[in-house]
Amino acid sequence: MIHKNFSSVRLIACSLLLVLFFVSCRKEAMDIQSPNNRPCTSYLEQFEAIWEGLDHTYVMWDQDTVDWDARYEKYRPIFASFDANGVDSATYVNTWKGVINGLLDHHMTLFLWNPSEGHKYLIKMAPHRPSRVTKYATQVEILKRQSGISNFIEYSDTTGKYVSSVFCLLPGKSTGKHIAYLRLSEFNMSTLFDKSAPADARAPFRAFYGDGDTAWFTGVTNGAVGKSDVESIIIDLRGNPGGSVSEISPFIGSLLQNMFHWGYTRYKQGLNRMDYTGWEPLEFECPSSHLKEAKPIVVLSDANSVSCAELSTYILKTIPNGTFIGESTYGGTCALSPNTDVTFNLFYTGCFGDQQLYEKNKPTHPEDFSYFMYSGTYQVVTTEYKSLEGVGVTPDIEVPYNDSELSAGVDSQLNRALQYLRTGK
Amino acid sequence: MKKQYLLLLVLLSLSTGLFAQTPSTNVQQPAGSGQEAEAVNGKWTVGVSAAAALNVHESGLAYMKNYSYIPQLGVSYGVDVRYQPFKWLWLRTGIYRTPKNYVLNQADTIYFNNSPLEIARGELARNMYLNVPFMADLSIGKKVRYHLFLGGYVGYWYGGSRMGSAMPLMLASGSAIYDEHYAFDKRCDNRFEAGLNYGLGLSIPCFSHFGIDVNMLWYYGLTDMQKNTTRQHIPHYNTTFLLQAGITYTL
Repeated sequence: MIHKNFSSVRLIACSLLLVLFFVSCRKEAMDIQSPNNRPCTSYLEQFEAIWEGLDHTYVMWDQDTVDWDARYEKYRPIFASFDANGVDSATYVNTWKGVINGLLDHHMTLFLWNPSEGHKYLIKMAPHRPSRVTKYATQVEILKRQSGISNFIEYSDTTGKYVSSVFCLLPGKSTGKHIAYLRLSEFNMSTLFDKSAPADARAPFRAFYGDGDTAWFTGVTNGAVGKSDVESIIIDLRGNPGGSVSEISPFIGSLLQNMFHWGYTRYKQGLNRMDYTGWEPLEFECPSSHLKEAKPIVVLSDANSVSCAELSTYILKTIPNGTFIGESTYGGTCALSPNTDVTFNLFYTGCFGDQQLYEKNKPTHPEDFSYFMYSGTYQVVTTEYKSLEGVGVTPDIEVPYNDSELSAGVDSQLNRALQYLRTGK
Repeated sequence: MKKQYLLLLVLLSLSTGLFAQTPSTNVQQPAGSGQEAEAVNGKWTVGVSAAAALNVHESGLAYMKNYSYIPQLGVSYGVDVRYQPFKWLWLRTGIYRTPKNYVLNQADTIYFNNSPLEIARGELARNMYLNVPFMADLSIGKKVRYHLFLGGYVGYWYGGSRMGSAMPLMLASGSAIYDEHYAFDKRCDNRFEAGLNYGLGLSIPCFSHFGIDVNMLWYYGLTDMQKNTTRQHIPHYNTTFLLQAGITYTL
């Protein structure tokens, strides 16, 4: 009896010890440092901080095909050798280009500070956008001739603080009917309503939508777009690099008649590569001062339409009364926030690093190997969960940019939009 | 690792005399000897039970200081079968539908343009498992028996969903709420789970062959919910506590 009881006790004790043994088999999480404002005192520390930061925060891991672990194995020894043997600036920059080459995010720009040189470098590996700055001015000149001076209002910003914009009325299908045209240089319209902004900076915008509130834009009031003689609309986003995502809603929402579901978005939620939030539906709720009657809308965009301009192009293409004419857009559709001093602790994804290096030419600590990674915070996909990153929005009617025609005073993209709105073809 | 080696050493030394002292089984004492037979000729029992299941999800959050995991309750139910080779020992197995839910919560106050902005959002993750435990059930007592359970389990993830709110995309969207089915992603998810299973309980016989039992059980996951997708992978584990009540029938 005593032997039996003792055996039972030993069995229980062995079992409990076995339990304790296996309990200690759980792997412990590694100690991971935040990549935001992380001090680095060597090339190797700078590489490890950026590699780890992207490893945990990059929003495109579920789609990107770059073998990020292989990049670590390949480039870590190289940066260690820079600390041991020194490096010239060309080799330093080219090595970093190799590290981020092929990553899908078309917004991605890496800002690097080399304290031994006291110099800031920008590394961007997404495809270059075609340079057409002077040609956009030509497009505006052509437009002025077609509309007539009395129907043409332009604000051309030379300060760099405000948005350049153009409004005009173009002849419609029949006599007395018009097409309302609005062009924006970027999505930064809130600056137009600063107290310091000149009144004529708002003039094209007001002519299109109306006077309304004197503060930030509230919708269609008494502007051209709501008038009975205006039968259709052209929104010109060619060359528009994007800007504030919050401006898409009033800008486009006020032209719609019903709530419109146009896509989904999500961001990273967790430190492993596939940790995401669920998909947030992207919907417009029309402001009370929306356009009451649906009118045909053509959006003109090209290869230099990026970010907000691309999302706006996609939305206007997708609504029942919208058509996209022009070229495929750039393919940079992530939304992001570079204000990492505020937003990094909100999202723990997207941009990270020394915000001062991004905003100015010197980091907070010039003696450190500082960095700023400018990268997407939100993924944006279509209603079919299809990503446009690196792909862009494809036009309903493709009209490529034509340099020689523009030089001859012909804007074939604009002409095709006018033909479509006047004839329906 | 040193802790594991020490435990293994103690375990081995304790177990060396174990088998030499285990009494022989199936010894039938002569009638009227005053001693109970050790063997009970392999009684089988089946049972059905339901439980309140509290799941604790454990994972490192590193520098994500305003995030936390909050345990969630669910209902588990299932059937089991037990074999009793000795009066004091049952061997149990069964199959239980067990929810392993949790909330990933984010709460903070940040300052934007010198104005405070309260952040309060989160996501309820629902994970449905089929758990198959394999337990040794050591018991003492006469009419009311007290039990100690020790063993392991295997779990199979068969479905899940997530419901939550996200930070809206820069005010460009109407709502930031989502409620969606979660599709298994073979790139990062593990379908199977395994771990330890232990607990305490008591059982009371009723009329005829029926009985009632009440148990407290722990399912301690030892395998990661996710596959290793990065060299700095953070593991995710579940520990599920069950307060279980059931009805048994002895064949």
